[in-house]
Amino acid sequence: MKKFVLSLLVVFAGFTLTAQSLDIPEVTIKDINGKQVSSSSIEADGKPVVISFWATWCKPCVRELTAIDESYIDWQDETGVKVIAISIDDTRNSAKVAPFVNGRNWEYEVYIDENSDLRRMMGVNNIPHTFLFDGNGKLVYQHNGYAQGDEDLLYEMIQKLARGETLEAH
Amino acid sequence: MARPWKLTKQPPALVKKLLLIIAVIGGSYSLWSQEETAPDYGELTGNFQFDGYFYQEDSAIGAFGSNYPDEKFLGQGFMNLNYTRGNFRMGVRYENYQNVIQGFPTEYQGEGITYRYAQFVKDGLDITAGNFYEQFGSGMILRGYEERGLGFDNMFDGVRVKYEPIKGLALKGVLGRQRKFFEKSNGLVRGLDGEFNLNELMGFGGNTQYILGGSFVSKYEAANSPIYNLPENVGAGAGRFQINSGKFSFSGEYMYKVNDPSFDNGYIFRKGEGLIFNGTYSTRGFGLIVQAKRIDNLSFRSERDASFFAVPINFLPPTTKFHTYALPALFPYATQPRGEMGFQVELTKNFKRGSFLGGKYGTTVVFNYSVASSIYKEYYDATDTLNLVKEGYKTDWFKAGDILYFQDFNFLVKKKLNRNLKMNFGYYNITYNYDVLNKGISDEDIVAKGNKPNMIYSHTFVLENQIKLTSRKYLRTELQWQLTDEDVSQEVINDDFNMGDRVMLLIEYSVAPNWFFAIQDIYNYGHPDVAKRLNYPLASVVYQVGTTRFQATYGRQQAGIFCVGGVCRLVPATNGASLTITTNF
Amino acid sequence: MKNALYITTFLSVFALASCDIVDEPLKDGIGGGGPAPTETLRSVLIEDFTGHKCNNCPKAADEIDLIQGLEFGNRVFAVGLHVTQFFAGPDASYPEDFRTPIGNEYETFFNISALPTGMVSRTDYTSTSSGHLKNYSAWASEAFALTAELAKFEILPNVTYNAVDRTISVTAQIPVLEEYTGNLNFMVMITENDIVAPQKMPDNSKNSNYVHKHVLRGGLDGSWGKVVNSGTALEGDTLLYSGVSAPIDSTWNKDNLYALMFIYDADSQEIWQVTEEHVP
Repeated sequence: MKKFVLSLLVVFAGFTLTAQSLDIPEVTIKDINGKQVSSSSIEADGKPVVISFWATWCKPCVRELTAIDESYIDWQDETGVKVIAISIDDTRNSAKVAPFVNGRNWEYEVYIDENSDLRRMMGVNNIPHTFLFDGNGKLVYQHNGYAQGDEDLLYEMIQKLARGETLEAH
Repeated sequence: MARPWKLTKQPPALVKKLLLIIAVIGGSYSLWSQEETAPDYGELTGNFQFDGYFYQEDSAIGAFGSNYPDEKFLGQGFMNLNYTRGNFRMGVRYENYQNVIQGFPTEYQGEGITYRYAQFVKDGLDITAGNFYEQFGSGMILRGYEERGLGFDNMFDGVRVKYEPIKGLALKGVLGRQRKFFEKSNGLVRGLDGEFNLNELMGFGGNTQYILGGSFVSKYEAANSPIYNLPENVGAGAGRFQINSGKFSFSGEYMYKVNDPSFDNGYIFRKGEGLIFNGTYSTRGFGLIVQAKRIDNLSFRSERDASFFAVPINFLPPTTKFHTYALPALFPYATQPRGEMGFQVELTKNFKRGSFLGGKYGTTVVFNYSVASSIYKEYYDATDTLNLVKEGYKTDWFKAGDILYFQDFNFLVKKKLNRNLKMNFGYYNITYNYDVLNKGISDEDIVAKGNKPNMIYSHTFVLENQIKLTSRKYLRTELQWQLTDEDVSQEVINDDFNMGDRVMLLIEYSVAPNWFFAIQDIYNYGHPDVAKRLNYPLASVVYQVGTTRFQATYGRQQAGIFCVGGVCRLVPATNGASLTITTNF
Repeated sequence: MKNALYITTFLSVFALASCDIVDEPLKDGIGGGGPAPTETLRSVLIEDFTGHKCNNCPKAADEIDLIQGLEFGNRVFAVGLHVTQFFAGPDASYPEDFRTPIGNEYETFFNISALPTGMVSRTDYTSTSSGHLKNYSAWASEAFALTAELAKFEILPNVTYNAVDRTISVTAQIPVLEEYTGNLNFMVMITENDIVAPQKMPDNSKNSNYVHKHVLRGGLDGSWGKVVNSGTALEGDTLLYSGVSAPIDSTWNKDNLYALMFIYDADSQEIWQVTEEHVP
């Protein structure tokens, strides 16, 4: 009986606590230290996830991530959102990504897509390109380009997702 | 005379079927569903871009005669489609050039399906048949990649197998022909790559991570020269490492290539060697990177007589900073495949809020210095034809050459002054070897002239402000001022438009999330030739909705240089209106 | 783990083995002369697109000299077409203008943008790509291969000069050596050799006394010549051509003029036979 209840609990725990991968193609990218990882290892722990494609030389991208950085701690406290910054810097600049990110004290999870493989599979043309996933890993919104103030609109959507609401089609 | 156009290329039957399949499935697709009951039709993603330009004649900037297109309106576009279902993927790309816009490689003519592939990914095995992009290590030995904005695309058409037999060991094999605009290269490329994550393979933990990698690539191209005994198979090997330990990271790659006489190297049978090294230190609020590089005879193409954007197998990364502000970007650096050595240092420091230099909101400062010069060369006597062809020259690994190619010292200060005002201030001091970087003149010719190449020295000051008007409305301004000092011959002044002091003003008004309006002017007030002291005004409007973006511009654009790796393309000055539409789905 | 090491060692040996290390880079016997061939072989035309402000173009001209000095060099003809506003336009330092209406039309039709570049008998022509444009390092191999082929046509020309109205007349008999089906055009170009004028050299300096060779000056029938055959030409047939030029320009040096003529396929553009005669 105990074993049965235990296994039942495990099954329930599995349903509720299983970290699911995001609804993105499985492509090999590198973490900020240059180690190869699969994009399917990026998890949504029941909280909204933002994936932002950027590069160290892309000014609007850096503006967007800097603007989000100013409020990121508040965003995380309120909604648990995770921002994943995937750099498409190629070998010319990929070694600079770690000092760039750390030098600016950014708290994001950063990956490097050195030959744009994930970018290509996700249909991204120009950057910055931002994707928003709900707690189940489902893609609910994407946006190309950055105008100052866009991060506030993004945050409104993140708040809605965190409250369990669905977003209107965009 | 009207160009005698052939009819639109009919895509082969197989591709038509592929498109039909995608259309049928795409028409009834749904996103991944978490419920087990909904049927899985897979997922379709893609993007589309169109660029059109309407040109006006403008004799003041040289936009007339053959610098002015007969067609008056030039347009090009592409569409990518990718379909994923379970372990299976496929995709196509359609490209269209009717005709290419000015500055784009003119080898793109007409239209057709240029990219199609099928891929199967499961349990550590990844097989692709058709077109693919791939990079081994840093790309110094092999890199198939695309830069759509420049018109660069050297992808492979063939087969690629990736396999991870055990955790920590990643193997790749490629075999194929490269894309050459709308055709294929005559040469065949095959390669193998292995990357070993020693921590995972040998099971040790700890904070230090060790990664090793090795690659072998060889190409085959038939030869029939009446003058040379050309090698038909040319092989290259590379080894790389990466060590990360806490705040430090070191990486490097060494490449060796056997005799590969080509148009790029003047048909010498010399071996090629290259070395890149990076060291970085990063911690909270501070980042430092040091890069060193030496390249000797590393042009590596699958066709020995190709040049410019055509079929390079490898990618030689420039170790200089890529500038995006318009005036410093007038002097871009491109790697010299014949040989160069140099290093780069970049330091990023964030002064925290409340600290003395940080001020109320914090300040970020970035210092960057890079330099590139020729490698040391000792030439053989002009009568020693055998060594001239076999070796070309003698060199020494530890000695730099006498010719300075490029030097760049710059810094950027980013500071938020108050709730509504952010400021960036930058200074760029660039030394630019015009003969080497703009004209492709060889070291031998420069040395024969007494090593007095045409040089341009520039100082540029940049002030960028970002002003918040309301939570949605922002104003962004850029003021750039460039002082140049040209140590050049009268010939160069006669030829080139990009000479003399200039000033630029940009004002951009944005209303999130949809609108951008911008107006800019570059005034070349200091050009030595009075007739070329021109204004280059440009107005642009951008409308963005979701993932679709419309951009229209009108005005004059300066002549410029687009560079990719060791290749630069001169873009003539233009006057007219452009429209760009991009979307994702 | 051990397997991985074995595999990589084997593969590295295999990979290194698949490359050719050359000890003797230069072939023997690249001099001129040699016995005259017994059968009529194909001659080729190198069309060298050039400009007096193109600093790399002298290297292409040198390559032509080198090729014409090889064993098959007497079957290699050349013409220099000065094209593009940027490289061939005149200015204070380079006052000559060697551009021609023919060159300008070819610049658009053959898709010329970067110089130097050239075509060897216009092989590999397509309207949708630039495979027909070849860097000068490829010309020797291309010419070597083509000049070893048997000729499909022979050109027997007769060139005369009328001193009164200063026109050049050309008639030619073109025996068909191999049956051919297709539209054939015959084109006559007037070229001038040994023009001394400024040229930008590889080290970016100006050579005021550069000797420009085989410079295109004009043609007899516009840019594309005259149709000499549609449909099938049988082996043993003889095609005929005749044409007259406009009066030659007074700035041209009449003693250095040549009539360069060739027969080519009007659709594929491939040039099948070439010859050249000095204008008497």
